[in-house]
Amino acid sequence: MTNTIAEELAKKQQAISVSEFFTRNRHLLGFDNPRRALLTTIKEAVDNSLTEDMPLMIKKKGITKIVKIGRFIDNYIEKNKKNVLILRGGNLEKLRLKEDVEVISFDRKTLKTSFKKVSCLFRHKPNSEIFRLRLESGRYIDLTPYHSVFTFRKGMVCSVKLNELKIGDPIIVPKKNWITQKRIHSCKLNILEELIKLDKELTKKINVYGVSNIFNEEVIAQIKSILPREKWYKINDFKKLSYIPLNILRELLISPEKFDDSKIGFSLSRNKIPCILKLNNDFAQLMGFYIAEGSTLSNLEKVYFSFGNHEKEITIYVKDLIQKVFDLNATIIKAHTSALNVTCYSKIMAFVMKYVFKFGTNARTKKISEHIWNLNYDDCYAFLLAYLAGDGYPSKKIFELLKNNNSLSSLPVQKITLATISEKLFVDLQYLISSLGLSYSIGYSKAKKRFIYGKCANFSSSNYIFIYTKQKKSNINKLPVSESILYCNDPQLKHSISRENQTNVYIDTLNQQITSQLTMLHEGVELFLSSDLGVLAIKNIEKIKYNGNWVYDISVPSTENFLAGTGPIFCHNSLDACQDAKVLPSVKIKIKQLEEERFSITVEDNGPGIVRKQIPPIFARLLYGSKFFTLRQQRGQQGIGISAAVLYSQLTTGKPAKITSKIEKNRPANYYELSIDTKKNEPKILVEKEIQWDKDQGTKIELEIEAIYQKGARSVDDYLKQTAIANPHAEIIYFSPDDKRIVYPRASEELPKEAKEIKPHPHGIELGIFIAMLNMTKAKTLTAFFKNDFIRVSPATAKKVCESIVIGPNTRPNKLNRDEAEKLYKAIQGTKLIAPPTNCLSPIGVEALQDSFEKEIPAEFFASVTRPAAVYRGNPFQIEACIAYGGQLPQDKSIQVLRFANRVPLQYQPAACAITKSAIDTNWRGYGLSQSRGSLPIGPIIIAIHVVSVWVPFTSESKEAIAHYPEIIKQIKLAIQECGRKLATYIRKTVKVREQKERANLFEKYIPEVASSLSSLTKEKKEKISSALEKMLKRSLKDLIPEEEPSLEKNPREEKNNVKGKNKREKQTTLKA
Amino acid sequence: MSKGKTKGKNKPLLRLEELGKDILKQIKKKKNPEIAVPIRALSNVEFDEKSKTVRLGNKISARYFFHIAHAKKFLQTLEVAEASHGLLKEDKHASLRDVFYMVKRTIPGTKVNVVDEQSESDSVIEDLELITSNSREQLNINANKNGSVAGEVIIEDKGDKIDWGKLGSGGWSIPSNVENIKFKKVKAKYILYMEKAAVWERLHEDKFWKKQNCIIMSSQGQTTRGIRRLLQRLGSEYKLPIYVLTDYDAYGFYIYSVIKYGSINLAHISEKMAIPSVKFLGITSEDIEKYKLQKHLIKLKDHDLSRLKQLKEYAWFKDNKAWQKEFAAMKKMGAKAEIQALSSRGISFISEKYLPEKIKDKEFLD
Repeated sequence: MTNTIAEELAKKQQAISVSEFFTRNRHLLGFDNPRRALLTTIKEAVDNSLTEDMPLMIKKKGITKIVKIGRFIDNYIEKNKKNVLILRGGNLEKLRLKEDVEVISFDRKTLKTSFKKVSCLFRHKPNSEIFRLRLESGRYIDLTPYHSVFTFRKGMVCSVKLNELKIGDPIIVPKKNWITQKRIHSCKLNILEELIKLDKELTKKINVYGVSNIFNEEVIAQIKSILPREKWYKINDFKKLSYIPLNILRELLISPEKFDDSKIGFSLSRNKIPCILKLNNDFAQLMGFYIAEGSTLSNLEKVYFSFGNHEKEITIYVKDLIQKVFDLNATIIKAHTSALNVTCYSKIMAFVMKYVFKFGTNARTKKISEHIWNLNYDDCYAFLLAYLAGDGYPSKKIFELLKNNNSLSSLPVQKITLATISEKLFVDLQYLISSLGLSYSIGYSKAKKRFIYGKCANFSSSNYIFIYTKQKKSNINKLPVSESILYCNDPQLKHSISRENQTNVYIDTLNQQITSQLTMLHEGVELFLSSDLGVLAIKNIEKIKYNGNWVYDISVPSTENFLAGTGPIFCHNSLDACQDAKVLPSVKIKIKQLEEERFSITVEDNGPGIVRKQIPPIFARLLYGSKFFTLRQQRGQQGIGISAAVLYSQLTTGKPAKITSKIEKNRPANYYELSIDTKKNEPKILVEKEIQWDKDQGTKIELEIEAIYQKGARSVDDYLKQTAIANPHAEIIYFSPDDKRIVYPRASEELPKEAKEIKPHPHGIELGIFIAMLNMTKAKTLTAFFKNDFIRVSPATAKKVCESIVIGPNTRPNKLNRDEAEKLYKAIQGTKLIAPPTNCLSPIGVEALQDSFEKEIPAEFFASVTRPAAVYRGNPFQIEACIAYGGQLPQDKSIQVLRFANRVPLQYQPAACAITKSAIDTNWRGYGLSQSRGSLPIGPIIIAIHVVSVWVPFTSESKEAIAHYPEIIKQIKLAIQECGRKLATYIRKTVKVREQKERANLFEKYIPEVASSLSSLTKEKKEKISSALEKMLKRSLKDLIPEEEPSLEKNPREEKNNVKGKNKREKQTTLKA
Repeated sequence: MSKGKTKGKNKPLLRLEELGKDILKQIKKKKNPEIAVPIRALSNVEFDEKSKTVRLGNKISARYFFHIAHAKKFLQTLEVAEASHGLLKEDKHASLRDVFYMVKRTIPGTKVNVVDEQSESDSVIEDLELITSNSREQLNINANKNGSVAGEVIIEDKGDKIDWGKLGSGGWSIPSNVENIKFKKVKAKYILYMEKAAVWERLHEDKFWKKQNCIIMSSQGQTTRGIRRLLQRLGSEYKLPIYVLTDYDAYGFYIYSVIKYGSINLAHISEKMAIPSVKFLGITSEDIEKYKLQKHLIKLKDHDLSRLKQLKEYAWFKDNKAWQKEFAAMKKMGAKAEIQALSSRGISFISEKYLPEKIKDKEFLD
């Protein structure tokens, strides 16, 4: 025996590659059984991404609005495919506009701004990188380097390409107001016409009152042709009570003027409003207050404005405005110790605010209604003042201005600060302020605490706008010295320029110099000074990531420029106003059964494709491209990914993966056949060639695997359905093994906001990663390491931390030994740091989530909630929840909990997941469901919980269950509870009403029986008794079934007993038995 | 045809039609139709000290048609009224079970049955008795035959002469309606009623009735109306003393209570049913000791105890010292016994020793 046993054994031991490890431990990847393998393969292959868009102000058919340029142009082009000119081999598309669309533009000769007609729309493939041009006030625009904006050079306005610009260069922006004093529109708004434009379903219960003058023979004949014969009796009701349901009215051929004096209201509801609203100064002010402080309950019960209780005077003022505008009597209610509410219990007013004016119903979704853009200058100004009186600071002084009809410049403060958490309103306000000729700058503030009137208040993160009251002193009123003054001999001016290095000069100063003999201005400065334009200096130009398929441009023939950007900036209409305009994702999945347990799988998307050299490693190397050191909310998995599916395919069938990918139209696609060399964890390329693929762009993967196809829970079908729910903007087309074609259409045409990438927070990483980061950083010192590689560590903090453990802040990070590294790690963990920013998350959005829920789930009631972002262990996260109730959902089973993490449905290990735990821990009994201890409640409910985070803490690498972090569980429970409360309200209301209806229905069935018995006892005719009883039932039904606003406080039993004694409600009830 | 029958034929028919007309009137007046029904529950039952019977109070509930909780009951009442009306018109009799099937069906367009269980129609029939002031039998609805009788009595029923002493081992089975029976010859000196049919068979085999010159009568379990009415008629028309023999348990005591004072459910016809003169023969706690039955006791269960407690609280037992003593003794003993326990002393012990001794010594509880 020459070798010891140990040596023998050692021979057999050898390093194994990652691939080999996972070959032996494939359960870690979610391939533990053939049924699950099928699902995991599909899951890894389905992926998509997300982006946002740039605002553009347009006027279409006389209506002004702010749109996203990409969507606006895409829409036109998609709708007018036939008329689109395809140029440069498909790289450029051009559409000549026949419709009347106008954008803001300045005249090249007079430098005055006005709306100008658009002649053509363009979009073309981005052929270079995209840059964000940011100006000193904060406004920005994204452009290709070849696109031009305008600069001010030696007194002249000239276009210049982005790549010729540098920081500090002046960029032309609008300075003076571009809203005219003249009324653009009639100052009346016929609400009736607006309502008729809405969907019939929405306006079901709206009636028009005071219409006795319309019922002539002709109209009655029309109504008769609309109503079924058995409902003709209602016409008498209409005539008698002088009303007509809107949905009947909309079918009638009748001139709208007939209703000028009518009122509109919900059936059986108080507080009707006039058909005609005057769009005057009062209206503008009321809307301004609404944007600032108003809310509409989603059940349309009321519209209310909340003010602090020191703002009594404003409340009275607002109450008065409501009276003037809507002819409604609002009440001032003390909401709690520090708030006064002006509340208007008018369902129709709430409806109009929500569906006609579309101001958004809460702080996050607020925006400026189109109806405001069409007011004149004074009214827009009043709107802004009213808004500022509510939301701005100092609000009290602004309110004084509003009352006394003064302008902002009379305020004793330098600037007015306003904050909003609505991104849309933020952009809208910038355009509004700019359109009024006011100058402003913007800022962003994170969540913080402030003391107001001695009370501590929590402020969530907001976007700020600072409006300068002393307009003259603002940046926009300066011009660069070098570009405006040719030579200067004015001693004072000369002194400040040469001695104090002053680079800018106020336009007031320049105005004085015009007539001066001592100073010579560049030619054109004089014209510019009297123009509508101003300049703002470039603050920075940065390269941004752009996944868009196209960039956009607009042609305005007369002036060759238009206003766009996040905050208005003039763009030259040559080419390339670049917008993120990613195509909406569409994914095709095809599963074909080859043998009993063998399937071929094809997944195809329309994404941007993958560049050639990246294809082999992405598909055939495990752990390729895992990013540990930057954090970004990502769809799909943070680890093994598609290569795991390739590995599984290889292990079970020995077949290679076939990949086709195309990144650009008019270029050939790349085709690969790949397998994995598991020893080395390297891709093995079996076939590599260029092929033709009749698709603009996208990626396709074909795999053959051993698997079992089943339906039901945790199936591929189920997974795809849930994926559709979590990705409302995606279209999923699925060919199932049983040869069915299932299409999940889009529920939303809007791309979600793109998630931002953030660096890790020191409290969110483990020691091992920390050490790895120390070794790999490019930073030369520890201070720099903390500053560059992490967020929320200032150099001062970094220095303090290092010094606390006696390590020099300037030590090279890779020089630390393990013990020192651990010490440092512990020290930073023990240091108080600001929580990470939460604006890096991209939730699905309450509305989109609910839309897709409504699309996929046959329930009768839906509610959804987005929680404010929160932080666990230094990682920001956010919870969304949507609940579906009733309808065709099973009554007697446990509720269904759909779990999502970063838009990916989680299907396995529900019991181990924080989401399930939170749902079980929630007390559902309060929401009218039965629930036994430690289990999910019973009831017809599906609830979806979406956990959004830059780093979702899964319990294992197969990523099926979310770890139990108390912060996450707390937020989930709060989200469920919020949904639950909405649900409980609904259950109480609707279900009770329905039950009563069902019971009342029973009476109807009993009547013939009772009649027949009575008839044989009394020899009275059966039919006679029946009809007498039926009449009674109809009369008393109203009391039996509360029609829409059941008085819930009343004991239901009491109601039932009340059948006898009728309380007369409004007479125009139309009975629907 | 008998006098009683003729009288009963028109009256109930009229009363039922009156009920219909009354409801019709209300409908014509556009009032929510209602039927007034006296409440049959302990809350509306009083013990009449004078007649020593349980009497129905005068609480009345209204049964509405347009009332979620009442509608079905309302319909049931009318359905049964219609059924009874039909029976009376055709002069036919139906059993409780028949009536159940006459009204049972699914209401068209619903999943609701007019009645789901016989107990529902039975209860409505009892309501109708009150509404029309006619007994079930007068409404031509009979209960099932139940119970046997033997003794030196000759009766006439529907023209047939029947000698209760010459009917073999089964005896005469008691119909549910005994109103029209005529007693031709009554030789017996007292009546012995027992809870158990098996005990009756024992006594009949031993020709106990002949030896003792008495009538022996039994049912299985609760005493039916027919038996109670028969007992009452014999008791009052021939002044025969009546003795009750039951198991030694709370349910046995209640059988005695019902015969003597009337039942809560049928408090409205107590005057036709209750027999205040009956006496309780056994088995008593004294008997247990005297005849050494301790070895054959059965332990009381919870429901026995709660029933015992209820009995103690009844107005008619409350001030009865002898009975309170009996209840207390049972509670103390914590056990009950069946009549058949006496068989432990010999199969004919009951007929040869126990009963003759008890009756001779007049060992009764009153």
